[in-house]
Amino acid sequence: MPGIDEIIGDALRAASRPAKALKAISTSFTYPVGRTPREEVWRLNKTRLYRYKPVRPAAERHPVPLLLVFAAINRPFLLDMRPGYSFIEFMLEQGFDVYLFDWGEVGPEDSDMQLDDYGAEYLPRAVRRVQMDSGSSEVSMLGYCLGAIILLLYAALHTDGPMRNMILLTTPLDMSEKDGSKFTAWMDERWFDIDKVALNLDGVLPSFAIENGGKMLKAIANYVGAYVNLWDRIDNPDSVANWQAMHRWVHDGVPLPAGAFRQWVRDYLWGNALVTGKHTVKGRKVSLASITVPTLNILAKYDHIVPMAQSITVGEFLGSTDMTTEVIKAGHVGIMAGSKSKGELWPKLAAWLAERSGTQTRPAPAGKAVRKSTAKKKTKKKTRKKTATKTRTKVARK
Amino acid sequence: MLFDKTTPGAAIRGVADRLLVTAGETVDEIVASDAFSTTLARGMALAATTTASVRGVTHAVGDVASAWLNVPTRQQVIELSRRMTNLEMLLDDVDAKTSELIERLGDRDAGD
Repeated sequence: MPGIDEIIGDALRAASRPAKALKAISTSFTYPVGRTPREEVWRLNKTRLYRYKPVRPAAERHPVPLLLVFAAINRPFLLDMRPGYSFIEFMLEQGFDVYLFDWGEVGPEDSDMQLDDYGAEYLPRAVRRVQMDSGSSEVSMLGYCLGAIILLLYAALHTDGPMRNMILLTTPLDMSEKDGSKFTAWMDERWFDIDKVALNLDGVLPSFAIENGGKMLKAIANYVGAYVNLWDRIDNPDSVANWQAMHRWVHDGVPLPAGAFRQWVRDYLWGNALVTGKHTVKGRKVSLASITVPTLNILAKYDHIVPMAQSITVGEFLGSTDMTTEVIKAGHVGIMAGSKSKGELWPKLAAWLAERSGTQTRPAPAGKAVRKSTAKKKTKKKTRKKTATKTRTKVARK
Repeated sequence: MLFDKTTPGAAIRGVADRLLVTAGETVDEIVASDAFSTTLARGMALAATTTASVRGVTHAVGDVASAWLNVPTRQQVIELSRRMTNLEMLLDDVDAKTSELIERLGDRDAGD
């Protein structure tokens, strides 16, 4: 039996908990996330391409840069939550040159944007910028959730492109099993009128709808359980900091263009277009079988957002001979930002990628490297001109 | 700690945890039902159409105010933004072509 002092101490600590919890919740919305140093390399419309500051000297870095493509419905700082718990920070330490393509926050002016535009218009331009900035002819790419679908679109449309390796995380690809997810049940074509909904949106599917849709999949766990967890860990500052970062991420979503939402439901969810091979972009057939790059397909065993049934078959549709499938005992979000990620998934992913990020096989890209040589030539010409001028001046003085 | 397994409060916490688990399972079953799916689908369609009509009125009022203030309307700003994005893409295409051209010229110079 605990002594009276211990009971009083416990009671006092318990009394301070509500105030601590309220403070943790209220400050979570401004919790500093994404603190790994980076610079903006390029922008187009709302999208931004960032390069993270390498932490290892160039000689120790892998020659092929890594481009991260996050889901277009969430902020990408899930990959860079806080120092010590950041995937991006981890990959930098492993010697990778890391780039992040942030889709940004779309507005009503982007209402016509489709998922095809993400994969066929925006991503190829970003990849070219990565090539130009890094001077590398090849780029490894990682896509997460909807980002993985965009990556597949890109890879299928650019089979002769610069993609060296492809990492797919929790990819909602195969919709042939209709009972697989509550999302597919909610948006079943028998009752969900996508045209009516999409056309009456204000150009975008608001982030609160996406956020609450995700939360409703496990309503009690998300609406109540999350706060019980905070209550339980309130006296552990490190744990509270993790909770705050995650709470901010969950409540800081981004909208999806109405066009992309409509296409997602109609073509991908109902039509299973990517799998059936019926999908075309600007008249070009999207054939997953034409993707031959080394691929790592990562699945979350307890994923309730993208059940394994939707992503475990990815390898069957690709033409890649170097195909690795990895099942991690985690949830959809916890797989990348959970307490075990740093010790489990991240090292596996880095090792797989490091093995395949050796010497480049393609010629150098057009862009920065070329510009550098042009700049050198220009400098030479200028020096020649200056020398000529100086000689002339000397002659005149004489 | 109060409500920990070793304290008298553990019983209360235990009941609360069991309640949460039961409630979680019940709600999960509800949201997985066809009845919930149809209700949600109807609710989304209704919400979208209702807010669309309200938005329509708001935008109409906004357009009148914009005209009165002699500033661009919402639709005009949207169109302008779209044109800017198209322009950005065209410039990016030009940049890509120029880079390619410079590269070819560089290759030719190197060949000479």
